Amino acid sequence: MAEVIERPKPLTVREAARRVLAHENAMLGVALVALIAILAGVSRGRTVIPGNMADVLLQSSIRGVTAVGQAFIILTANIDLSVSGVGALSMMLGAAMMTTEWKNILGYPASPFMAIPAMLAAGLAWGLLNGLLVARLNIPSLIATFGVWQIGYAAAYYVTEGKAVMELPESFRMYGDLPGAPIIFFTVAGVAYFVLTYTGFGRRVYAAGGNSVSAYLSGINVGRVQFITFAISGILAGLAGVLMCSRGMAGSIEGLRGLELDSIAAVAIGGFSLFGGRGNMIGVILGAIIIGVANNALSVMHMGHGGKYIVKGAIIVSAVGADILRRRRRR
Amino acid sequence: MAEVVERRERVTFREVARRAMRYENATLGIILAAIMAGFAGATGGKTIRIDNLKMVLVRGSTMGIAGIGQAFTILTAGIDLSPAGVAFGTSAIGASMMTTQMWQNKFFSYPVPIYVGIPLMMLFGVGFGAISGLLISRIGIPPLIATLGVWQIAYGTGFLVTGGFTITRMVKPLTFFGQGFLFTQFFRGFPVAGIVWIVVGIIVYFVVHHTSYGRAVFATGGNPVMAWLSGVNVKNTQLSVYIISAFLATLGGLVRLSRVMSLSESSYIGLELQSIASAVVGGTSLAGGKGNILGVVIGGLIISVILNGLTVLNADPFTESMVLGLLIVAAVGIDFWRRGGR
Repeated sequence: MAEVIERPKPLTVREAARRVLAHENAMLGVALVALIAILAGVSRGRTVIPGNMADVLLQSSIRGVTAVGQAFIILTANIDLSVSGVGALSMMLGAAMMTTEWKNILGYPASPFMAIPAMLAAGLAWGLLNGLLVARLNIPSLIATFGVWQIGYAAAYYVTEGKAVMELPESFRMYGDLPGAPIIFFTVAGVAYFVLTYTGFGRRVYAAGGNSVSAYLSGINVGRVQFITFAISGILAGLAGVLMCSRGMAGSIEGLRGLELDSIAAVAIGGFSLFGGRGNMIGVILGAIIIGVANNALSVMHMGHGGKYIVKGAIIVSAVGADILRRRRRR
Repeated sequence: MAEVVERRERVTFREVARRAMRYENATLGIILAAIMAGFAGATGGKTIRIDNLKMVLVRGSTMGIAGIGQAFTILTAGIDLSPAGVAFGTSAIGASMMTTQMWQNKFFSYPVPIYVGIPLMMLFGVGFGAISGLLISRIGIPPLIATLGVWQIAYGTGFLVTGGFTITRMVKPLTFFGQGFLFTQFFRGFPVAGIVWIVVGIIVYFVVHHTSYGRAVFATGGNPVMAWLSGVNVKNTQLSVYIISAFLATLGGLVRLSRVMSLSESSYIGLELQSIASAVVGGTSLAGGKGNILGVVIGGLIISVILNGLTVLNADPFTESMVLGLLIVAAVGIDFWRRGGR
């Protein structure tokens, strides 16, 4: 707030560059650019051809949407392991509504305009269940959402008894395709950034995660804040289901496997503290893209599943470790 | 820590039995009996035949053994999400050394005998545990993230070793742990897998409840600062519990490998959930510092009885995972409700 008094300096290129580099996400951006450059070099340019870059952006969008939800949860010092289960349920439900096959649970093929709200509502419902378990019944979020994850997968299985759903209406394709998915992702992230930075609710989220006792003492209903963050994460998991379903033009239970790990990783790389109360949305966007770039490069270079897992694990651990070491040094 | 002043009583058998059958464990035992009775009723007695009960022990042993390791980490208020990855990674290393299919044998030009292969496998398990333990105790990474990372690293190692193929035809003596029977004069033998589970349970019971190391584990989970002030090496205790957990996950993996005699990437899916479930259902508090090992063994039995009963009733795998999910949430809910909220 002190800046209000200062006279604004004229914004030269130099000054702008200085400000950008002083931003807390600057190193992350530099890391992303360096990663892209290195991978481009290693793969002899195969990772930076336009087709592949578009693919990275699509992948990152689906991951990023859930990472935004996860970020809200992690800001309140909780965790949501249920996203892939909830997303799978939303995907199966929506796909089963829109298909012309016998698996249609409505009896007639629904239009995307009907199915998408239903999918988001399914996500919301499961998010509310998470919120109920964590904020009202005080079950640790790790366990509550782990349980809900299992139950979500089971429910997704029951929708079509585990069979994949194909033949979705062509009008559904645009949401997970090139302009659609990134636009949805950046819109969601932008709204989340605005909410967290400029609204009272955002401030309450940071306060509830930073120190829940002092937040409570300053009149914040910590339980309600947690409840709302789980609802947000649920809706966004449902949205990830929409995007994934549209991208593959099919509903399959296994399509979103591993999404919770990726979303946690994106948030952790984005500079969020897992103890709550610290981090910002730009970091999440960068984190999601970094994970997307790394994932994609490993596929392009035919590293196979093994290398992918190892590299991803190492990235998560070293990102969090570096963050902790940096903060320890500063103290 | 007040006990230090008291004069140490001699640990008689009676005293051990009294401590073991504490109130909570008696309740758990009754729940176990009730569930068994329920399934026996629902299946017309099929589930309580001797052969099926042996099956419960054999199938449950992987989860039970890993669950005992998990209990260590939960007692120190941590958590280990890596059992499935560690079990797969180490089993892949072990299986690919001991297979007689030479194109899959990556490390040796001959199938390695079990007395070399199994210790090497265990060594890798200890290594993975040491990685998570060091990340947690020395750098201070939250256990959730550290073990998540190690899960991925171990799983990836397994993939690199197997190349995504199913490994079969391991050397014959390996079947002993999962398919072997001892004391064949009674009831046509006790399954070795069950015996391993029980022996691990007994050893760990004594380590946790009757040694100073066990005290250190409880103290670290209860209040790490107090523990440090009273001379407990908190960092090394944390390191050791993750090593133990990974070691027991490896042992559980070995039992399963030996029972099925084949290894594929999906062999251990859900092991971390099951191991957490058996520890939590057994009364281990996720807040740390509270729990007992006998309860964990009974918790493992409860879950394996339920899973077995559902299998006999022809339930699909997703119903099983649903029941497991509900069970965990319920167990943790009860734990929190009993302690009166956070």
